[in-house]
Amino acid sequence: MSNERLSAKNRPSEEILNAFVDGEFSPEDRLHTLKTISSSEHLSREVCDMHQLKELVNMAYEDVPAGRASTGRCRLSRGGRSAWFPSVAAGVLALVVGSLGGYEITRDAGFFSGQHSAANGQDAGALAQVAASRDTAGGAAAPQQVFSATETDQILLHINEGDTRAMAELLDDIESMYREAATVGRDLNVQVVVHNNAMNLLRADSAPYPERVASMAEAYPTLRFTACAQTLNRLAREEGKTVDILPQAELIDSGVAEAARRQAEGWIYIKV
Amino acid sequence: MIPYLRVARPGWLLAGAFLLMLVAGGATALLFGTVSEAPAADEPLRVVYHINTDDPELHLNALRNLQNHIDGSPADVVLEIKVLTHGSGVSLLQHAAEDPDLRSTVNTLKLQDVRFLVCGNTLDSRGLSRSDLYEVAKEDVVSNGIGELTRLQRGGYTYIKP
Repeated sequence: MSNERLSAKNRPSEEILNAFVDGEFSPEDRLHTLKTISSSEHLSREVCDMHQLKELVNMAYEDVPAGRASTGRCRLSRGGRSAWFPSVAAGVLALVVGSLGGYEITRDAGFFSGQHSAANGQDAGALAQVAASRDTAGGAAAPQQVFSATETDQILLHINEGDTRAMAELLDDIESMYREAATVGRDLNVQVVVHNNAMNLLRADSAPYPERVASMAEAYPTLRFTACAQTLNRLAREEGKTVDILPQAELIDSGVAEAARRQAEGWIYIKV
Repeated sequence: MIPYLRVARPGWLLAGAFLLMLVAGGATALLFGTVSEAPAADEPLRVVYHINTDDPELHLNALRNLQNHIDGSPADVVLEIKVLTHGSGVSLLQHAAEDPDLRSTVNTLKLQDVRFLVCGNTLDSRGLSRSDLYEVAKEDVVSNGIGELTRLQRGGYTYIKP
């Protein structure tokens, strides 16, 4: 960088120019330098630039005491080397901060992806309360007021047996769950997956409790009755006619696949 | 020109620091990502067996599986195992009142801290009382079997339907 400057003979060194701009010379030295500068148009333009730059730097460091800013400006001329130290120091600091930050973030991420430890802390407490409340209050009143109101339980109820009594009890259980959830202020998301021998529950031509299914579907918007399309296809093949389902029921591609998917999504699975 | 380079330096410094933080963060993410997911060793064994059919053979098999489950777990692990009988499955505890073999199996499991829970809704809907069942205490009756299964699973219990 200094090559182009050396082209001018008896050109003052950069250090001298900087000191001049910063006003660090005695009056005689200053006069002498000023003469040299004024002798060259190029040099005076350069000094003018340096002045401008100095002003700019001072503006940038306005809240820093002026004296500091100007000495800093002067010291810079000592060479590029010393200027690397702050950036190296900042780099090392950044490395440490980044490492700690990265560690914290991944630790949290690990908790969430495992869905265990983080959830466990809270749930273990909740469980202890469940146990405690059951032990003290006992029986029917036990499980209330244990969980916070903001959470939603996502529950998949898988039914594949043709027992009508079990179906009636399933509907009872769902109603009772919704009642209980309402009293503790918890939200419920329930999906009934009907599959194989249980298909009667949702068959339009042979459903044992079509009115109940209809009224429950209306009463609980977050309750879904879903029918396995593969079972319906099989039944249609066997009976030689299409098998219709109740208007409240929805089709899903496969009951087993749905059960697996929902569990992977964190839903609670219960086989009735 | 040197002066401009100097002015630009704080910017470079910031950019360099950010880059370093990103790289360092990413590297540690890779380093610690797998380590942090390792499960705690002293985690209790929490399992709930769900029984809702009236099938003595299934009941016996389920309880046998449960014993094997206990035998197969590490000796120092804390067991928190529950059998939740529900719907037609409450017959397990009706049969245990009459069948000495089944009763002793239930007793053996109870001695190992296995708890037998009963769905209160089922008792109501079937007109049963605790005295119809084998040794069911007041606190063994839960209001709603499905609700209890939900709570237990939410609390980290593994769900098994024999």
